[in-house]
Amino acid sequence: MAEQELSLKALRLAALPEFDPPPNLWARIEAEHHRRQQRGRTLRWGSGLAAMLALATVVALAPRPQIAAANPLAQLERRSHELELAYAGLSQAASPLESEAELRAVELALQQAYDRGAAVDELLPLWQQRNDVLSNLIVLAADGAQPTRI
Amino acid sequence: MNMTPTESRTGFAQEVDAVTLARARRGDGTAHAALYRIFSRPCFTLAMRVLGSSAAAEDIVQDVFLKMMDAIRSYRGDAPFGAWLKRMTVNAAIDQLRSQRHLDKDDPERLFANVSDTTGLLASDAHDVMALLQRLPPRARLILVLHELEGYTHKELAELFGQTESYSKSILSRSLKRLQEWLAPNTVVEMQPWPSRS
Repeated sequence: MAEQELSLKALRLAALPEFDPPPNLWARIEAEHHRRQQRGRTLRWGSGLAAMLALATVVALAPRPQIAAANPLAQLERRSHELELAYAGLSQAASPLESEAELRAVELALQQAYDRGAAVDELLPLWQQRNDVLSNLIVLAADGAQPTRI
Repeated sequence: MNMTPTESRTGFAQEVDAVTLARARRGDGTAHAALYRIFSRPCFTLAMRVLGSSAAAEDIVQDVFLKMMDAIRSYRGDAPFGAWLKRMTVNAAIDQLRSQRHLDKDDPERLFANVSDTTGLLASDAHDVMALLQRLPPRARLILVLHELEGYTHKELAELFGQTESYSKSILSRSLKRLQEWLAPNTVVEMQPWPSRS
C-alpha cells in the first residue's frame, strides 16, 4: 500500500467517539466570566480614582515649585508674607525697639528700590534681609529675649 | 456558508442564526449560552482527541468560551462562526501542549523515536481508536486529528506550526503507518475513497 493512500478512514478503525462536556461546565464558565467582569470593573474604577487623585495632587502641588524655581523674587515675597503673619500673631511687647527700627529701615530701602525701578538682583537681597529681620523678631518675641549685637 | 465534509462531521459547521450572533456581540448572556449549547460538544471532542484528558479538555472549553465572550465583538463574520471557534480551540490546545512542553521535538525522526511498537497493546485497544491515538506523540496526534478529522490542509498546518508542508506530510504519513502497524494483526485494511486535500 502506498503511504500517501493511507488515511484514518482507510484504516477502518471503529468510529471515533464524540464527547460531551460535563453538565455543570457552562455554569462554571459563566461564573468565571462574571468574576472577570467584576474584577475588570473594580480595576477600571480603582484606576480612574487613582488617576483623579493623582491629577488633583499634581494640580495642588505643581504650581508652587514651578513659581519657586522660576521666580526667586516671588518665593522671597511669599516667605516674607508668611513671616509677617507669624510675627503679627505673637506678642509685640516683647519685640525690641531696635529690631523694629531695623525692619522699618529695610522696608524703606525696599520701597525706594521699587520707586526707582531697581532690578531683581538689587531687590532679592533686600527681601532676604527683611525675612531675616522678621525671623529674628519672631524668635525674640517667642522667647521674650533681647537681641545681641556684636 | 462554505462547509467542508469534515466540519459537518465535527459539528463546528453548524450554522448560527444572525439574531443570536448579534445578541452575543452585544454581550447577551442568553445568546452566549445558546452558542455554548451548539459548539461545546465539537469543542470538547476536539480537545479530548488532541489532549486525551477530560480535565485538560474542560480547561480548553473554558478558555475558548471565555475568550469567545470577550472577542465576539470583534468577530466580523468573514469566516463561519464555527470555523472561527474551531481555530480558537486549536490554538488553545496547541498552547496547552506547548505549556506542557509536548511540542518541543520538531524532527519527525526524534518525534517517533520513543513511540512503542505493539508491545503492551491489548487486543481491546486495537479497535479503540482513542486509545491508539493517545499512543502517538502529541505533535503527531495533533497533526493527525487536524488533517484527518478537522479538515486542515497541509498548507494550513505549515502555517500553524511554522514549518513546511512536507513536514506535516511526513509526520502524518508516519502516524498513519504506525497506526496501521498497531492494527495489522487484528484488522483487514481496505482502501476507501477519502476527500483529497493538498
